[in-house]
Amino acid sequence: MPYFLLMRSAQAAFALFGVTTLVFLILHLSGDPVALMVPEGATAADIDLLRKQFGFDRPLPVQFVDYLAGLATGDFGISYIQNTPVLGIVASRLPFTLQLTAAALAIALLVGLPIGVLAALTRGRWPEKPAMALVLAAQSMPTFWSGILLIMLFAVNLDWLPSSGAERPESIILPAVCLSGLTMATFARITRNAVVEELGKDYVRAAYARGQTRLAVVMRHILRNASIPLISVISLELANMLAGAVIVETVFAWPGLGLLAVQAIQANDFVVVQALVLLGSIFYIVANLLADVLYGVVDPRIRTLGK
Amino acid sequence: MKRLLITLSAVAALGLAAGANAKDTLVIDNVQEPASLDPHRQWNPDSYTVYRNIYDNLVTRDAAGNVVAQVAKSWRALSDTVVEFQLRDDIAFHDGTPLTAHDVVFSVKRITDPAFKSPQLGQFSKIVGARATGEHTVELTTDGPYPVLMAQLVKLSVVSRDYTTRVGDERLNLEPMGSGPYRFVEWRKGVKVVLARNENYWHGTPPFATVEFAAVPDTATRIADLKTGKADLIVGLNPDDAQQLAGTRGVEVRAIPTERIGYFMMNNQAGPLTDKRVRRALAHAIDRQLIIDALLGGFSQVTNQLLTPAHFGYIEGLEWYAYDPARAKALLAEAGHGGGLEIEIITAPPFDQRIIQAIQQQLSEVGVTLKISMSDMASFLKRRRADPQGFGDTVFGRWSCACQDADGVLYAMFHSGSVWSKYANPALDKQLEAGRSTLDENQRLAAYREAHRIIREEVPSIPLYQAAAIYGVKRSLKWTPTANESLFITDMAWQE
Repeated sequence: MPYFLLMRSAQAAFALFGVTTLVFLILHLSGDPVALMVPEGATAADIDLLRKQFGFDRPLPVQFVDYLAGLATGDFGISYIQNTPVLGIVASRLPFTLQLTAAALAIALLVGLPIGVLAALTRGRWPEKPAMALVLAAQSMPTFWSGILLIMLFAVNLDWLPSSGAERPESIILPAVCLSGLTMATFARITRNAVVEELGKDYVRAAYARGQTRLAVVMRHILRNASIPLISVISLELANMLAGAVIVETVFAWPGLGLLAVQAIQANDFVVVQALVLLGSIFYIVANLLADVLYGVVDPRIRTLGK
Repeated sequence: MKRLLITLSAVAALGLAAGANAKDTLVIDNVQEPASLDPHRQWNPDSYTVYRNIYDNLVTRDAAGNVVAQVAKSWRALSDTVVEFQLRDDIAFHDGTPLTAHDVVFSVKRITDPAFKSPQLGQFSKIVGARATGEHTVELTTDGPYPVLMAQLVKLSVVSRDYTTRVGDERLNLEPMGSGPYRFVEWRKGVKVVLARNENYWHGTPPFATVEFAAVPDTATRIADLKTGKADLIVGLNPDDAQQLAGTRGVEVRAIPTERIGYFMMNNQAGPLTDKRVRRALAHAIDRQLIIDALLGGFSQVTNQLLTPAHFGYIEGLEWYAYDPARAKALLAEAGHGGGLEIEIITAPPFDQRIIQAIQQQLSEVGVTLKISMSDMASFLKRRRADPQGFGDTVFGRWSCACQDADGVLYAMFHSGSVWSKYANPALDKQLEAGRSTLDENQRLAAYREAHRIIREEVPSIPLYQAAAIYGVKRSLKWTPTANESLFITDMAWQE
């Protein structure tokens, strides 16, 4: 196990370095924030002066080493646009994205799992049809469209929920539902397939033969075995949700990292974009690591193999 | 369960309370949150619409667009390069300290200090000296006669010297403190900025107890906010959005022609458009009125010069090339392009691509193929400011100098020394230099009249339209939008 963790950490460090380098290069190739900062009509002298003051006139490798040195000491730099430390900006937005993702994940699990089980148990009969239709709808609707539909229905027409922002506790409902759609559909499909696969196995027939009820068989035996593919999908879906949050947060004016990312990219605010990409990568790597550990918790056979 | 009930009823009570106080709170939906609340940093609508309500400016513009007194109550030229300002003596900052000449001098020095790295530096870099000659008297010195000085000083917000030096630049940005009609209360990052009425404002009591500027990037969401009553005023609508609001009770669309000029600029120094006949052909080939009627909902207006009536230097009654595809074809044939011509247009996502496609369609009807080169904004700007070889053939843009003066548009667009110009003509350079180096308004107007004539003759660029700003507004809000796209709360009130 320690060897395993060590290997994974080394891989993670290498991946993070690669991501940092790549993002740094791509961002700097497109020009610097000064280009977007100065008003129309700025003279060449004004632009040069500002670039010099910000240090963008230095050779790219020098800027890169400088940036890495900062990172090594935990200094993510100061936003060129907002003039405040990047860490503070990101930290103030992180809780909103975490809340949104957690709420969306909960909805996706609470809705997707039962639908998947229901569809598997009623395969070929009528309850499967509407269940899978719902899954298909959730899967095919792009969030920028379903988001607007949700706002029109629940905020404008029914006046039940706020149309945007994060001022009130119930503000999270619409964006979370919107973000959960695609993931819910994935969970439902994975669960359905996994349960269908388990249904035909000997241990299920044995359980029925012992006189157990269907509910007990599903809850006690089938779901436990069916959850292995689900766990690996959850860690992947978390990354998808972070990406989806960019759109959902923009539509609902939810003040998370996605909204921040859009703003920072539009303004070429390098340091903020870099910090966000780094954070995203770390999140993804940790989620995958957790999934690997969780396999062992759910299925002791995998734990044994790990040793 | 009991706890849930309590929470729910608390939430409901809060909602009711918010409803009861709605008339005291004005909510404005901007597109993004402010990049900065430090008035000496970013100059973009999402930022300045907020911080200009927290600060007073040295001078301001009245409804008719004239420069009038604000912090400075009067001013006079001591020489061609020195202007003396008499300041009001009854203005206090929100912390109670009086606003004096030292604060004005400090503000000028702060924004013009290269080490401060203000993006607005170029707007004020002609000011080389600022001196307090009395408790309420300031002298500004420019590096030569500078006729646009007053137009630029409209944008100079006065910060407190003591507060700024005490708390530092970073805190001034996060907790701005000025002398304006509203004082800063809270900046909830990514959500909104909350301002409260300055009860001791020197220029009468401001209209609303509280004002909130929310950040709502998606247009459809801003419209929903207005329809649900969450917002009272929303910005950044396009003509299609305006139609969506048309049928809704209690809200209305208000539009105003701004000082932004839609233009189609050509590379006069490289490629096929170095030939004047080809440039004229394009001028004849573009049907500007059709673009406005079909795509801009009739909100914008055709302009026959590269200025709008909101600019100094705008001359009434100028003519432009009529829409005449036959004439365009003839000119192209004369220039040797009878068999067709391919040119490139550089652009980026923020520009209205429908207009570029319309121009593409219209040009194709006279045998000109317009190849659209789309890139991200930063890469686009790199090429936009590149030398003529790296530029491409044409560009569509909406120019705003935020100064409402011909110098801010024509000099940067056409002077041979400007990075934005792809044109070099000593005769035009001479007029543009004359226009910025004398304080005599008649001489300036004469120079710009001649400049417009040269541009009409040589067609370095085609003026398209005076762009409109379109707002969605709760009908009960009394407010008329202004050409400079400011949202001064003191201009607003609830209708009785």
